[in-house]
Amino acid sequence: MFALIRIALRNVTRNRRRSLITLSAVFLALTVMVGVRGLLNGLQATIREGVVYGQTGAVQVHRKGFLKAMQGAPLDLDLPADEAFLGKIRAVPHVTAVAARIPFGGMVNHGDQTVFSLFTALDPVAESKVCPQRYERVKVGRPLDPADPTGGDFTTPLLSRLGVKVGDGVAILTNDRDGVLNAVDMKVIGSFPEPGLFAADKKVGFIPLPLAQELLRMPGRATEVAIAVDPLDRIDEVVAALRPVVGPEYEVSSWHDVAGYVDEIVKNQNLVLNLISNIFLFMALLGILNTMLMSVRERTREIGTMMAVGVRRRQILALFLLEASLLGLVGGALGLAAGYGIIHHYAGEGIVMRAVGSTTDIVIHPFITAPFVARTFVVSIVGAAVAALLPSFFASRLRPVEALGSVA
Amino acid sequence: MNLVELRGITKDYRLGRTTVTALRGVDLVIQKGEFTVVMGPSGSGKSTLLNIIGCLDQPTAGSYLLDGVPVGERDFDKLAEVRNRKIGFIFQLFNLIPVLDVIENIEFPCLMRKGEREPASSLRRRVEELAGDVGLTPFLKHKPDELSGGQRQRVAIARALITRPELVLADEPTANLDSATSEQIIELMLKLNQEKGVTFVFSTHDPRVMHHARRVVHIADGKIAPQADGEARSPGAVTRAV
Repeated sequence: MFALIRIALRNVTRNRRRSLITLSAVFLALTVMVGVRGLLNGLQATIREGVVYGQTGAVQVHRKGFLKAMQGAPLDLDLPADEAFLGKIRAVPHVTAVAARIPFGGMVNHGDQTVFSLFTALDPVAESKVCPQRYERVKVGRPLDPADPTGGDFTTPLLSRLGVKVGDGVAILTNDRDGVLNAVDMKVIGSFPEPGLFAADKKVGFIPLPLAQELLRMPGRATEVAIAVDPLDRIDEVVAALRPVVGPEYEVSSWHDVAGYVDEIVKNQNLVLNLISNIFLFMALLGILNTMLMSVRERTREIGTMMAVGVRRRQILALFLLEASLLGLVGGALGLAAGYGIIHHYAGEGIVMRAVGSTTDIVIHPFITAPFVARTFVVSIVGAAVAALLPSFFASRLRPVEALGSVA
Repeated sequence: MNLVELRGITKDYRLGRTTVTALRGVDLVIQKGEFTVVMGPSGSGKSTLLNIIGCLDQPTAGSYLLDGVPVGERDFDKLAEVRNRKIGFIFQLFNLIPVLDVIENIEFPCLMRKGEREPASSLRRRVEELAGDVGLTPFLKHKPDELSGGQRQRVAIARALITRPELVLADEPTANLDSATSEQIIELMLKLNQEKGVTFVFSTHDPRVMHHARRVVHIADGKIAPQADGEARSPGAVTRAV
């Protein structure tokens, strides 16, 4: 085998220009694969963090049936927002914070302007521990503040529509859980450009939970409990542990269930990435196939000589597969190194991007995982060997007497 | 003792719809230690005969015993093993492996051997000895493209002998060499035949090399010419017509 490896190594360097072209194709493919994967990893991590730490929390508890009826923000599917209930949840291992909420629809009025909006009533202190990014989005003024029980944060598009600025007063009108109209006065203490990633409605407001309980006539109640989990990969464990704690009348959902669209987006992104990566890889492997076909053709008499001195078919097959694998190995290693280098360069500072239609920048910190690097490396080597399978098979099936008679 | 025993060997090739018969019922016995020249014009069937003797090709009909063992009906790998252990080849175009140096080319057949292999140090010692025997000691680290035609053929001879074969087949080994080098190569093969007792079968259509042969087998139109078979060129040479 060592003799075959030695010959394979030398054959790879025999036609330097051709080997270099083939190596370049593998190199480019691997660089693109790693670079794009790293960028997408960073983007997907930003999206996940934006959703978990800025919108949903890691886990949510609702009254059974709430998620199905969520579009209507049902107030009758409520749950206790007291320490007895929330404390039970907080006691579950890996739960680090618990925040009660009430999402509801209503109108916001200022002067002669009234706009239909979506509101989320939040516990100002607890929410900052479950979804700290929600507060970081406030660009003008300040986030919800327990010292300001009538102060709310609203999106810039909503405030513009109302002709309101931070410091002005507005009135919130909505039906309580019995369908009776009610209203509260409040003050705009902060504004944020967008409610969160992928939010369809841009006219959104956050108001303090006690004020909303008064407005909705739901003292001590909420409709949603958002839970922070650390570490995040223990979510399934926490969900399983919470179910018996809260009882059968409640549903416990991970953020994947609540914001299933994120998984869908990630899945689609991965699909596109895999398609692009596979096209690049396919082109590189075609290069290897071509190189090996040419090599077999040029070395037919040499193959015949090897067969004459007693080299067996599987050794001929192994020789050509080894040569292709070497091209995959070297090209792959260089491509991975270059891809990793690019990712490493941008990992610290990050890449600032803005989604189409968005008004806020997101910073992507690209990263790559060791299993992906290992898998891609193996794919480049095995893929090269697979690409060379046909030419190698041709070589091994040559008849010695015909191969020796070749003038190539 | 018979080393090669061919009986009724026929070889047909199909070229499109035409069948070309290269050998027509060849009977030939070559004994151990012989130095035999197969003579004949181009297209006479001498290369086909050598290919069949060398287990590179199989006859359409007839039987072939190599060292008393039937060769037919073996699969590719079994024939490869026979070639590796019992037969050495010397080709007209030298057929060295271009990426290997002299030492590596010579030892190559031993490294490809199936099963138990000779220790590397012992093999290397034999390679250097053999390279010395064929006059290649100063060129051990040279690649084939750094050698002259005669030197390349010496490498091929050493490669053919490294496996200690029973039989060495040389298919027009001097055709690509000038006459002085041709003489040297033939002298070398004769010397190895005498000193090491290796059986040589040598094909050529060059009448100048005939005077070196102990036995000449004339072949024409795929048949061994009756007047030449058994022609002894020197006293004591063992030849036999069958």
